Amino acid sequence: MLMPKRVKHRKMQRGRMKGRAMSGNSLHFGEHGLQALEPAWVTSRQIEAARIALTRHMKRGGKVWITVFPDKSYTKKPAETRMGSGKGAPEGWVAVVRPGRVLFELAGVEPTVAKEALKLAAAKLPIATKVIRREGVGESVEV
Amino acid sequence: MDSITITAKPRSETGRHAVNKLRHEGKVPGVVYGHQFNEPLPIVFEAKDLRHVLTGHNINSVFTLEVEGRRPTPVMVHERQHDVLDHRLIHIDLYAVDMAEAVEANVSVQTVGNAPGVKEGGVLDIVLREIAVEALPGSIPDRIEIDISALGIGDNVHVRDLRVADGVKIIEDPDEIVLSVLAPQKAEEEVPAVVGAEIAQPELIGEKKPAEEETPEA
Repeated sequence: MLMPKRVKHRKMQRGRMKGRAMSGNSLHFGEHGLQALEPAWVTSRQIEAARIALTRHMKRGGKVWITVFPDKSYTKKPAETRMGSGKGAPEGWVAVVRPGRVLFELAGVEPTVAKEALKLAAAKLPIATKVIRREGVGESVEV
Repeated sequence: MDSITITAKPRSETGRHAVNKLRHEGKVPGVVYGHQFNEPLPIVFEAKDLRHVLTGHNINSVFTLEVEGRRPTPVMVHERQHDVLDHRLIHIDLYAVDMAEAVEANVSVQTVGNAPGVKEGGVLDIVLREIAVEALPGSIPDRIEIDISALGIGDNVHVRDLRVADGVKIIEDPDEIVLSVLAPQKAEEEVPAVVGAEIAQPELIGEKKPAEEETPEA
């Protein structure tokens, strides 16, 4: 699963997810992509599950780009623990996703295969998404 | 020069709230600058008219801009801003061109034919989807076609291999790869996740390793 190799601090503040994705909001590599419509923390497990769903449907053809990286750690206190006594232990890694963020990109497969594969991947994610495709120079449209 | 005409009105409203109001009224704010314009001129279009003009025409076409109270001017689309979620046009920059002076523009790449490498299971990876060229406004090509019918697995097309018409100069690095046919991806072995397994922790930057801690300070 995806996670940083080296970090400066093990635990992080939670932060906010206001507004829309200011970067990574258009297709850069592939012909088709999956774009987030809601803000969320997408965990490394969810990203991995979506990637597996994508590659299984595409079989061997095509190329996949994962355009988000889970670089934020989240913590969790053990069950049945009283509040206080400091922050919990690191539990996993998440990518902070804002509306408009492109999560996956695909190239080298038929449009119908790409759409179906991205729909299967979307089912593994905790947010509403839409499939987009490249249209003209620097433009994308919903499929 | 193309005879496609875009009509616009000068715009006095500036700032986020004012232009958002225009967008709600079905208009698209824009700006025009370049030759014959000492200062950038804020303008506003009817979204429906602008969409009608831009759809079906190459983005590097030369349009004639008619703004109330000014002479018709040849312009090119310099930049378009789209909403990240619904992809509608929210702002457009027009550049007033001098038809005798070369301009830079991005031209899209289009593949022609079927690569044998793709039939063998390879993946066509288009690295550069747009090529920056320099040419007179009226002679910018609609697209640059690349014949891929001889490409096998592992073959590349570089910028230096592209052929363009006389008067069009490619300003990309000649050694840059435009597209390549990649070998098919190997099916990855899926390791079943162990339930309850502890997640490996990343290395901490600046953390002292046990060996370093034991070393006595000089």
